[in-house]
Amino acid sequence: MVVNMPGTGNADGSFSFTCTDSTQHLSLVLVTEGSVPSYNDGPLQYARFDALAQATEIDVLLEVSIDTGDPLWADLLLLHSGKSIKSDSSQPIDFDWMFGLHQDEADLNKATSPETLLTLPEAQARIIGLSAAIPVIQKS
Amino acid sequence: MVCVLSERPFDQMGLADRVVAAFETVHQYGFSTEGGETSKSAKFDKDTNPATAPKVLGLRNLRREIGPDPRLSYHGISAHASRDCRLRVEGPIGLHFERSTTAAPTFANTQFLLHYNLPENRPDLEESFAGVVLQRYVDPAWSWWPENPELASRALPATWWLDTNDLPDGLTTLSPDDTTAVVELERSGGSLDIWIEGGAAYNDNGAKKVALATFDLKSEHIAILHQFLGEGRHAISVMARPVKPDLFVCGELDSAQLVARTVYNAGRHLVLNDPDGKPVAVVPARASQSTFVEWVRSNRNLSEFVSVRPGLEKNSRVTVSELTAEVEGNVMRLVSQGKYHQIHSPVSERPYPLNVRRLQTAILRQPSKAIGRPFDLFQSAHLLDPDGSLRLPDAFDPVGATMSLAEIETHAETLVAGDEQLNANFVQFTKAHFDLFNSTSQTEDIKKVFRFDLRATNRTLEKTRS
Repeated sequence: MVVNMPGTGNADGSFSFTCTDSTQHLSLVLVTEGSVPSYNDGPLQYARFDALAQATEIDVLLEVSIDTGDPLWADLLLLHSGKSIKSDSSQPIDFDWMFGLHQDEADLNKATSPETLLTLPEAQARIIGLSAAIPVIQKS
Repeated sequence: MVCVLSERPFDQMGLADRVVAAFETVHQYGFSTEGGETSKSAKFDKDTNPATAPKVLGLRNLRREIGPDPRLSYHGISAHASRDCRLRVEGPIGLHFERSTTAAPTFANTQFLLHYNLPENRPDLEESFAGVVLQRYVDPAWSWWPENPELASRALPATWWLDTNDLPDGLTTLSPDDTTAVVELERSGGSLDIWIEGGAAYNDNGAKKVALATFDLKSEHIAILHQFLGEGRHAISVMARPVKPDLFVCGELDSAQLVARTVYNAGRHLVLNDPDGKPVAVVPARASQSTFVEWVRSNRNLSEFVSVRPGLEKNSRVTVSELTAEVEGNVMRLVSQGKYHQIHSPVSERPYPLNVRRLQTAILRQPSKAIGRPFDLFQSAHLLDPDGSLRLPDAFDPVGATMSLAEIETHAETLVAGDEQLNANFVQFTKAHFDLFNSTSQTEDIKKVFRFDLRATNRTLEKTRS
C-alpha cells in the first residue's frame, strides 16, 4: 500500500499536506494542517494525520512519501490501532500501542508462557517517564 | 544516579574516609596536520608542506567521558564543554537489609547519590552516556600525621595534597627536574588553569600542553591530590569545593568533589615550585587508585519540557511546577504566567531527523468521590494534539482534577522531499516504510486507524550543529 502526501503551495509561502492513497483502502482525514514556511531556517512544524481504514484487506507494508516542490526533511511516526478511534485528542490513548494487544487471558501462568508471549504483537511505543502532577483549573 | 558499595560507611579510614566520583578523563587523539619546525612531528617527516605532510597521531585534548545518546543526537560535545561536566557526591548513606523492627541493624552497604552537575546551556546532555570513576581519599583536615623530618625537606611524599588557595599568581610547576614541567598550575587573577604536558600524557606529542581543568576561584577552592603510582607513573586528581555551599540545594556541603583525574608519565622524583622557583609546601595524604569506569546513561528529566510558542523563534524551557492546565469549554491548554505553552520533549526539538519521536500524553486524574483520605483516581489518557492542546472527553469534570504529562517514545522514519537533485542524493529517505507484520496480532489483523505524526522543516542540516 502506498500513501502519498502531496504538498501544495500556499499564497503566503507555506505549503500544506494532504494524504491520498493509491489503492483506495484508506480515506485520509487531515486533522491538523502541517505547513512548512518555504524559507530556510524555518521552525519545526508538527502535524498529525489520521487515516481511517475502510477495507479489511490491508497490506502489511506501508509506504509513505511526501511530494513537495520545496526541499524539506521530516520524521514520520505511525501508530496504528485495531480499535476505531476518533481523530482528535478527546479519544483516549490506545495503550495497546505500548503493551501489545490485550489477550483476555485470565490465567496469568498461561498468559506469560512462552507460547502466548510469542503470539504478542510488537510494541509500538514505550513510556519514557511521567511528570509531576499539574493542577487543572477552570477558566472563568 | 546511585552507587552502592559493599562495605560499611566510613569503612576504611574512619571519619576521614571520603569517596568522590567524576566523569572519567580520557585522551582525545587526532592527526596532527602541523608540519612546521616547532612541531616534533617535523623530525619524522621531511615534507613540511601542511597539505602533503604525513599526518602524525597525537594527543589533541583531555576530555570527560560524557556525550549525548547517539540515538537522539547527531553531535557529541566538544572537549572544552565536556570538561565543565561534573558529578557531585552526596553521602554516605548506610544501607541495611534487615527488618525495620531490628534493634541494631548492620549497615552492611554504603550508598552515595551522584548528582549530575552540567553546564546550564547544554540541554542536549539530558539523556547522555557517561563513564564514571570513583576514588577514595583521606581528608587531610580530618587526619593527623606524625612529625617527620623527611617532610621538611624538598622531596615530595608519595601522595600529597595541595590547597591552591595559598599559591601566588603565576605558573606553579611540577617537574621531574628544574627545567621541564609536566604539570602546570597557572593562576592569574581569579582563575586557575591546570595543564598537563603533552609529552607526559602521551609520548609523541611535541611540546603541546593539554588542559585538564579550568576554574573560577571566586566560587571554588581548588585542591590537588597527587599520587605516585610506581614505574614513573603519577596520578593527579583535581578537587573543588564551593566557597559558599548552597545548603538549599539538596546535599551540597563544602566537602571537596573530584573534578578530574588523569595519569601521566614522569620520573620518580618530582619537584613542585612556585613562580619564584621556591618549593611549595604540601600536606601528605593517602588515596586509592580510581575504580574501573562504570558506564551509565542518564534519564530524561521530566520536570522540564521545551515550550514552543507560535510566532516566537526561540524556544524556551518550562518547568512542570510553573504550569497549570487551563480548561476553557472542552479544550485544555498548558499555561504559565498567562501564556499558552506548546509542550514538547527536548528530543522533538532536535533540528535534524531522528529515528525516534517523543509524544506527550496527558494523564487525567480526578479525586476519588469516596469518603476517607483523599486520593486521585486515574480517569483517562490522551495524546496531546500537535498544537499542545487537548480536547477533553465529555465526562471530564475539571473540579479538583490534576493531570500529568507522560512522555512516550515511538519509532520514526526519516523522509526527505524536494527537487530531483535532493531526491537523488537521499534516495533511501524519499520513501518511509512501515512494517506492520510484526505488530499484527494473529487474531485481529484489521487495522482501522493509522495515525501519522509528522515533524518537518526546511532548515538545512548544515545549520543543525549546536
